[in-house]
Amino acid sequence: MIGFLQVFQPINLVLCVLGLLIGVIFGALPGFTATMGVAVFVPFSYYLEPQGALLLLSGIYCGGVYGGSIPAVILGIPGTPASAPTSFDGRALTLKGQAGRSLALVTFSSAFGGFMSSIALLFLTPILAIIALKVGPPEQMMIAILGLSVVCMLSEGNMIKGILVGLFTLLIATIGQDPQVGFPRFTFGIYQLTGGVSLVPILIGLFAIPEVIKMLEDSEELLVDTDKVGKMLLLMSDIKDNVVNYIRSAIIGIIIGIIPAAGPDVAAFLSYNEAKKNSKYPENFGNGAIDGIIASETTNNAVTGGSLIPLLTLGIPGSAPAAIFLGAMYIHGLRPGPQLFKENADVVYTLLVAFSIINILLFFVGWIFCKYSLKVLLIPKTILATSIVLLATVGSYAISKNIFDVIQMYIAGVAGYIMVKNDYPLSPVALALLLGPMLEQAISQTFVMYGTKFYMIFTRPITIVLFLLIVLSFAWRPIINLIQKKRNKEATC
Amino acid sequence: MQKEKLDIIICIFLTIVLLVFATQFSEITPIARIYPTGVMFGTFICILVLFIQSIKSIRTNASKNTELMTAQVIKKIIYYILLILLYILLWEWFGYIITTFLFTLVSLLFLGMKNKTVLILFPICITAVIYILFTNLLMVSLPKGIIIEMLP
Repeated sequence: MIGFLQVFQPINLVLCVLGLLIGVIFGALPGFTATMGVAVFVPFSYYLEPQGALLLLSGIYCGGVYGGSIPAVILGIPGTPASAPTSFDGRALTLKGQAGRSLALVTFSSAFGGFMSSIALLFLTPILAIIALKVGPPEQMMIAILGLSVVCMLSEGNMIKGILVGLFTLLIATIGQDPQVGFPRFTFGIYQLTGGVSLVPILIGLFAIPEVIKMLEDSEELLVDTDKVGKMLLLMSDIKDNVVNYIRSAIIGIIIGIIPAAGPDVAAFLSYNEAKKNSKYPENFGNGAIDGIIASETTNNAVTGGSLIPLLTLGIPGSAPAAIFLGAMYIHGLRPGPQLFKENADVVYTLLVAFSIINILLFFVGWIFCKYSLKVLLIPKTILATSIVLLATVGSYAISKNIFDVIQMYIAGVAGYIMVKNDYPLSPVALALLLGPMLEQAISQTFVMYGTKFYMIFTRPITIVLFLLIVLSFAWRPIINLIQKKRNKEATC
Repeated sequence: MQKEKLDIIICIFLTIVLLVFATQFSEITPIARIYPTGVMFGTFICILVLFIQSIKSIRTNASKNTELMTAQVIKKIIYYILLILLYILLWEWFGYIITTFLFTLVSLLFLGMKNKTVLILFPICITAVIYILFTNLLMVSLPKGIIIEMLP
């Protein structure tokens, strides 16, 4: 009750909307992420009351995760790594003249996923916090392997190339300090590589530069014909046909959200993979599959609420933005844990209720933002290509104010273009860069825990569940093919 | 060129990269070597499989030709990449404002923009908007340029 009364105060509602707008802009700009948005505005939040500060930062978090999908759909350039799966099908729909339908679905799915996670945050916090406590290095190792198994599914038409790209990128991800002893590896004397390769500039280069080069190849003045831009259009049939997809994707997002180190990026790929496995038309994925867009967008926003569950109850952030949130809470004198719900009940319950309101407002703020974003498709390619190069360059530089990041971005961009031209999939690069460091760290920590008795990891229930999911992930397609062959045989007989 | 021939070239290139990585092993501690060794081994197996598949496809004449780009398009792409390279190299020397304004103008001309109003206004506006957005709102300082800073 306290929460409801506080949320609907005008100043708090204004902060929610402001946070969403800032977050969407941060998410949409290449080089900027929801994490960065939350981090930049933590000092500004110091001048606000604790409730207001947390509402502003929550709005930025939710808006930032959603905002990355807008350039993913319009230009095929994900604004944040979590929107990479959306770019596969969102962009294909744009080229078919259905950008408005795609953006409408992205907006609705993000709002739905975020809203479901806010319900979980309100009612399931104690139960889900218990799961968060039981997650350790063996579980993180299994999640990383499960995430990497998605490579096989996503590169189905070209599996050997997909696995090759994934493994080679895992090798690139070992550049820098090793997680056990901190010894620099494969730096070739370049001190800038001591911290490893930069994830965000590489992803910007991989997705943005091939698009720019494709614009140079094509002599057409605009990206799509003016009569193919389309309007924002949410079809009820798209929602009705994907109810199971929506619910499954929201659950995946909430569960991945509560696991530390696995964020919306990993969750989006996992959910996209699950949607493809369960789709009647998996061959449509990558060519404008509605279920793919719904899965990745619902999940990446469902992570937002999920990641706050272990944060508020145990002080363990479930994602990078949640870690920044933790810092903001300390600044405002809030100590996460069981006592938080007693000593600062008004602040916490306002946040819990506000999270639902923020995700409802996300739909409306996002809808208006997208309506104007569609106009980008009417900009001539000469201006668009130049603008993308400028934003990608400055965005990559802005991360660590280092020109080396810009160089990495362009090297990845040229490599990405060569890959696209020769049917090498790009998605394994994103997955391997995200999961490689987590996998190596989890493996070495698991060895420290169990030594030569590695089999003991199978005494942990969550590890067993994740292992079975990995086996299912690899075995799914061969089993389905076998069943279909049997059915075809029976039909011919 | 046949796709399979391009795949063979890529396989050879990746093998060379793996060998270059392997030369660094003597400088890495044994513990830090374990995981990368496993990954390199897996990568090499995949390269071998792809190489054999490509050779088989060429021998059975099952290979497909890639779409060829015209020499004009290839030149355009190479020149644009060189232009971008020049832009980022000059950033540190002349700073963000001058290099971005000049790059934007040259890029628009190179890509075929003929509208004089756009050619004048767009470089000024985009340079200013990005500058204000990043330095004033997002508190990210952009390079001022070594040569500009040396001027009295």
